[in-house]
Amino acid sequence: MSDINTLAFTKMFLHLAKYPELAVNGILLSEKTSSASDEADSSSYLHFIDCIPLFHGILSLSPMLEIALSQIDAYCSSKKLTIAGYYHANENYSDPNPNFTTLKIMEKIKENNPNAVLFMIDNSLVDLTENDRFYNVFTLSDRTWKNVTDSHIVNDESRLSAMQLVNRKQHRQLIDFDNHLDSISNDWRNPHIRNELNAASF
Amino acid sequence: MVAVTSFIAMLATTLVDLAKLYFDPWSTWLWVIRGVLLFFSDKIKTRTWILYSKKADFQQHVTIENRRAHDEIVDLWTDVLSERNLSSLGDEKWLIFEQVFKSALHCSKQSIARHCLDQLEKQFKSTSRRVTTLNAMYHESIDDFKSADDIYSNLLDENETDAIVQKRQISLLKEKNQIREAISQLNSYLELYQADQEAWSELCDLYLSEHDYAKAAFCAEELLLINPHNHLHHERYASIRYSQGDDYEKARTYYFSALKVNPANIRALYGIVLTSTNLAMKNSSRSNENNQVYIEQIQWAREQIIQKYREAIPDLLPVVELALQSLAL
Repeated sequence: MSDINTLAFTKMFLHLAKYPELAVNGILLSEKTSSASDEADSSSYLHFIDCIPLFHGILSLSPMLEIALSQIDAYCSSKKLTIAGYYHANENYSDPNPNFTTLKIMEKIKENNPNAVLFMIDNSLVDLTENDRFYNVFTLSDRTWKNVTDSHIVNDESRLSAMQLVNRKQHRQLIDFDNHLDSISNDWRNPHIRNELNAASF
Repeated sequence: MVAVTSFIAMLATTLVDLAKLYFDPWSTWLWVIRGVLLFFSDKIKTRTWILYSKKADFQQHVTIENRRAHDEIVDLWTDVLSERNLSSLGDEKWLIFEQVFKSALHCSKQSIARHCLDQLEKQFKSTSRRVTTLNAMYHESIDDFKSADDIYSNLLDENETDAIVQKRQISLLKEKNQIREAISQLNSYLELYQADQEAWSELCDLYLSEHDYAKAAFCAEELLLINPHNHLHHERYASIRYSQGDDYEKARTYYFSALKVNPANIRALYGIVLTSTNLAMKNSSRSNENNQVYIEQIQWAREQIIQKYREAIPDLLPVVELALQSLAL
């Protein structure tokens, strides 16, 4: 069971809007519950409240992924958050399937959080005027993907906020980890997006 | 229309000047007429100037800044350029139509693309290979791959050395998700066009998507040979070797060479920390001398990184320091 808040949903959507022609991926953070166990717990509830966009273009190179995960981990430890999700969008419009890179990265994330889930972006659903969400949610066990989208809740406010921010061209202001590495004054925590959302809700 | 009126006004001004010279330099009437004409032609010039300045904006987006901001270009088109008569821009407008066409395809605005393509086809008819290629691209965007492929094949029958059309056929394969075929065709292309950096880069990306790190490394090496002064080539090669997993020494060497070419490359600094850490861990049982060098360099790279963050984004420094510690031996 899981749900996602407006901030995480919107940041993910803005990342897709910024690089429509490329593969993109990123991390989703959820609140750290005190009962974090070392085994996969199918009854755990994941409440996703933030999103860190990672890379665009080539997703299969490992050095910068290690750097990114180490920094996100460090960020999480001070905020009582944990890496609980990973989103991945393929370059090809008609390919909504997780590939080898997705598998490798999910396995790496599951080493630290066995309850982590995959948000696999379906490019054909990205039109939010027609659909309420643009991804499917999967769990991974023994290299097999299981679709658990039915137990994932998205509220309507998220959809509207995401569309509104894209209309206001905010996707051009989104910073992913690649942008940060190109120029480190770009803040991958995207505090300005949070401010935009707060301004938008009034 | 604007250009013609402006021209007539200028011509009229010149005639009035001549008349003044010939008849009576102090004639009030001629002065008045001249004043009116100048005023008129100035007004017309201002409108043309506005159009030119928007065109400059546009060109800046496309050429000078070299950004792929397709949605901004489409916005500029919808808000400004499509409302105006572009005839005063002369032959430059065909380049604008071409660029707006490509950007509209990127943004799935097929109607805008169709409009631009119609203008181009009207002007250049069917004899222009460039416009025919654009037509094929339009077919690609509406998923009519068969027509696009036929058009490209015809163009290649007429001229088999056309590199642009060959590359478009390869990207057609990529669109259909036939990656193996795309790789094979791109290899044949590169046997002829060995200095085509864009093609080597694309082949490298294709191999990486297939997780064939060895062949991707070969492509990255070709890029290094073609242009050894580009720090991104060094850094990409190093990252591929690192991802491959069995030659951290080579990866480390090329992270250092990337840094030498561009001391501001933060990926190279991070790469040095990662590779040296891995090498020190591997050699922990062997000679201490090598390890000492690795450890010193890890320390040096970390200090460089921290210094850069302190100057650019001190807010993020605690996170980065904690992260670097977690990567330590």
